[in-house]
Amino acid sequence: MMVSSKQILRDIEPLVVEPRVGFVYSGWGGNTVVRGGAGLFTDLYPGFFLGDFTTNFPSVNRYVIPGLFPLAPQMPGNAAAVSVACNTAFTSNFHSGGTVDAYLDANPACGIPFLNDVVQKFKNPKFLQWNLEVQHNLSSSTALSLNYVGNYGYDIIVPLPDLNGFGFGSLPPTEPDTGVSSLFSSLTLDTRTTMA
Amino acid sequence: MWKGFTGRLNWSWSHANDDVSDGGLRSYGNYSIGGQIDPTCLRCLNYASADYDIRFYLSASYVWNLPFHSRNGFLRALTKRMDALSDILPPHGLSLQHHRLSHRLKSVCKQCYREHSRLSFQCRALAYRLRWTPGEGRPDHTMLHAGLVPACWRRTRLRWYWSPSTC
Repeated sequence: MMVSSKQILRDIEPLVVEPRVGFVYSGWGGNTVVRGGAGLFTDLYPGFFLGDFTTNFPSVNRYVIPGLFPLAPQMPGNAAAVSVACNTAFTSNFHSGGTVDAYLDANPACGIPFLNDVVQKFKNPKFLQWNLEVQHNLSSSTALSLNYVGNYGYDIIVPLPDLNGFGFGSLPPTEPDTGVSSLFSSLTLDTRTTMA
Repeated sequence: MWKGFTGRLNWSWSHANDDVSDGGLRSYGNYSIGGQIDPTCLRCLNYASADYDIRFYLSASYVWNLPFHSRNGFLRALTKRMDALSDILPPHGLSLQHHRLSHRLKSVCKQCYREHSRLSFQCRALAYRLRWTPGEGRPDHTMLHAGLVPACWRRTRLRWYWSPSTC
């Protein structure tokens, strides 16, 4: 486990190339035009969810401790005191090289701190877009066009509550599938007329 | 009178599929899928019509180069290039879609109930214990492992956004 780092995410994509290409052809007397293009686009992910990765143990310990506890700090066994006791126990166990099982055996009422992580290299979401349009001038004032647009997204971000849920107990033996994608297709019929 | 008038009519068919809409970070509606349903296979249960899937979209717009010209030079210069223009859109483009889906919703839900009734008695008993029936909330991982997620869940995922109470 890495307990200190200069960056929040271990490995990110420092550079994403966004190539784009397009063409226009109107070699049929000028009344019919064919346009097309394709390109790769990318987005930066929203920064707010990085907060989850800056609050992992052992730097920041966040617990859900099951049970009902008094809130008033002067009451014995109040929630704050239980949290502090659990945190002390966990921190001591962690720094002495203990295991989770040993910690839970010694402190059965305490929970395990949250751990948020990302899969391997954290990639930018990417979207491949393409279109093909045919426009035909029905007259000098009226044009008709048919445009197909497609969009395929990949490396899309998704929260995975079961990211590390494999390889032990009754859980699946292999790492869960993390490939998130999207597909959009559209066909647009457009007519435009101008009164001379 | 109609000189300088340009009208435009636009009809689109589109279909958007995805595993999670908005990256699962924000819910698009009360019934948006925010995360992975099947922990072992993302596409198996998540991949379906997107929350913002708009199947049909009809819009119109016009631009009218106003034919009124003043004898006053200043006003003529001011209004010479003045256009009237507007977009005529259904609200969010959803009205046609909503109308279409409201008709399909009942048949989808019926299918959902039919599939549920074919589940084994043991599964139905477990479904009852989990307080889940098709159309009343999303299944969780426990149900998934118990084999309680019928195929109809995937098909009804989008529809719940429109009118979950109809189920």
